[in-house]
Amino acid sequence: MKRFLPWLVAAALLVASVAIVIGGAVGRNRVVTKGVTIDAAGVYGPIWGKQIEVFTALTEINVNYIGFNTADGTTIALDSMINAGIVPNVLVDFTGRASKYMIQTSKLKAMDLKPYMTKAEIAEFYDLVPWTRNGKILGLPNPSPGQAMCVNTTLLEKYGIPIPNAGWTIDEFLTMAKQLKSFGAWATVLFAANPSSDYLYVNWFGAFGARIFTGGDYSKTTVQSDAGLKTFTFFNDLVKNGYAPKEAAELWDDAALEIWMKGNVAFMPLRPDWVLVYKAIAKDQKLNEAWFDYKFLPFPAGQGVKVTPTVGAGSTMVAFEKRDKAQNAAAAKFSVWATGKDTNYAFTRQGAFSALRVPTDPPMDEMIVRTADWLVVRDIANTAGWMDVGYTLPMYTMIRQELPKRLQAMWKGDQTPAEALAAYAAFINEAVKK
Amino acid sequence: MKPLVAYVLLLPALFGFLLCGLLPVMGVGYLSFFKSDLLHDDVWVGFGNYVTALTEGHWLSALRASAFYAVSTVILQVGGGLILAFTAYHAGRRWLSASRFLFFLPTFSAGLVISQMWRSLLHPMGWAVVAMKSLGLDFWHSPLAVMTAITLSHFSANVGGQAVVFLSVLLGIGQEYKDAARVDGASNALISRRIFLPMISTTVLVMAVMQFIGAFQMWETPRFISNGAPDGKSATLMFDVWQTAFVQNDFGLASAKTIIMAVVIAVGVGIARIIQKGTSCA
Repeated sequence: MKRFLPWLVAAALLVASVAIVIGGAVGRNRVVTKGVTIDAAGVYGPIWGKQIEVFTALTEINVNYIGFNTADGTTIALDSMINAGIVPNVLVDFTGRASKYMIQTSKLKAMDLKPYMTKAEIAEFYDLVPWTRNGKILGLPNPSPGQAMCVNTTLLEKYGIPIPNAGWTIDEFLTMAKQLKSFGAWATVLFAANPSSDYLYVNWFGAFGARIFTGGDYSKTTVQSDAGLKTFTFFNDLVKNGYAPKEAAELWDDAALEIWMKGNVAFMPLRPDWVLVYKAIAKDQKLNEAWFDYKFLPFPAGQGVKVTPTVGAGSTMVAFEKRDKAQNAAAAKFSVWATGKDTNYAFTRQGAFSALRVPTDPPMDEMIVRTADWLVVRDIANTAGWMDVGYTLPMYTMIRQELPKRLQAMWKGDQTPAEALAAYAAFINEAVKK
Repeated sequence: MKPLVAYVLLLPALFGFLLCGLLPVMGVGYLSFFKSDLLHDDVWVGFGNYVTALTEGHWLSALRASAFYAVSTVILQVGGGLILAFTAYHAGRRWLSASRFLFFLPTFSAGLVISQMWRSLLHPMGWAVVAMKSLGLDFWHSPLAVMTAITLSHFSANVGGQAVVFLSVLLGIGQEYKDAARVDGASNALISRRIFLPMISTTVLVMAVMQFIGAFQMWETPRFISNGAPDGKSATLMFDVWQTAFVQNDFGLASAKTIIMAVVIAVGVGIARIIQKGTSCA
């Protein structure tokens, strides 16, 4: 009966092929109830739910939202979808991940949204350069969270250390760090066990005047500079001198934040909206139920630096070109509308900062975050702008792995700050070539 | 039952195997010869990915770590499982249900949860690590210490499952063997070693092979306890494959690494089969 086996294998393959073809056809020919239907994939949130509802009512374009999980920080969900032939019309995801899909290849073609936008609409965005490739706008940014220095004023008052004001310098920071150490407290917390939450320390590059990328030129990094070396040396000294926990090389981001939440750390780069989240966590987990008073300040400035730019990234919308022109037009229309004033307003209420020049600041009594903190970051964004750390580069997920590795090597004494910086810059320059 | 009917009954499973097993494996084999991020056009590189994989420092380091996990896991899991199973078996029937429940309990917990517990225990500033430092062991700088912690985490999660399997096999053996040995004055330890162990040796070998394969495929334990620290030396082959594919977006290289991993596992299983045959002849 072994002669039957090849036939059975062939039959199984045939059934599998038919199932794939039928499955694909069913997926493509969904019943359209009104107008055009497009698929928007991304991490689902209440704001998107509401925005899709409004958009559908305004335009009669149906938006089918495919929520996926990005808890592991990778792009595995969308990679799988794309390779299974399920390319959504629109992707909405954290810019650091969505940037991977801002490409035009034979397998995946991000739509140039420029033809679908008026000049006025383009001009409304603060900066579309990072989302532009060869003159084509391949994605549109949503409001972005920004950060500044969160100062634990309770701790400083406890030890009689004067609370700094905007315009403070790195030298003043280091003086306070020395004082704090004498009381058994830390100036800040650094960590390098994992690459997540790197935004909690990349601001320090800006404090010394260093930039990862400059002027939209992504062909090479500009971090290899005197300012870059000062930053690496500063990171090294903070840990070596005991101004930050000496276990920094082994600390994960959540462990570092836990140390900060306990209240024995004076300065932490943070988003204003997340302080309230951490406050709730500290209470729930009984880490620090009393919590502490705090205020937000711009980063301390190194020599020759006036204001340190803020860092952060919200989500990006990428539309993908398909055969159906009506769908393409609908996807572009949705992308432009959904990154417009309404969405900016909704995200701004939650503490993000508008990607548009046009005023979308909500009334202060509607702010979910503490208004004073929010205004500090907004002023920084307005005066010093945003530091470009390459969130919109397709290889960003790869680039962000390297900095913690170099910090680990430096803190363990395997590399000097100069060597760590050189290795970091070389890695980025190699990565951007790919 | 005619063979044709048997084959027809096999068809659904065969269909599933082809669709979810064989086709993806063939896809991995295909991709391993290309430079591919799945989004751009694939570029043929021949055996380039295999050469890269076999000459990469961290891949070889991951191979060493996986070998460590495989050997330590097989010894600990199988040995621990047997000790627990024999202890429960000889403790009497009224303890069997309770012991089976207790042994199997950790298996219900997600590996992620157990890893998270170990991560909290091994907090760089936690009491356990501080205590080890005071005894001269700088835990997070010692690859052996971190790998041992990962092995113990994996062991604590899975040894109960092993014990339950061994216990089930032991309970299938007739009581008369034990009674006869008892009449001859054999102790529980002697009965376990000389009578039961040879009788369940096939199951022991199968479980050892399964543990061996599982050790190479271990991902979440090193991912959530150490993230490969220190310097990637506690990362497994699977962890490295995951990083190559989903962090570095190099699916071609990750595919080549997967194929090499499969070959390494196949060689290990082959050796186990030879040992089994040798043992049977003896």
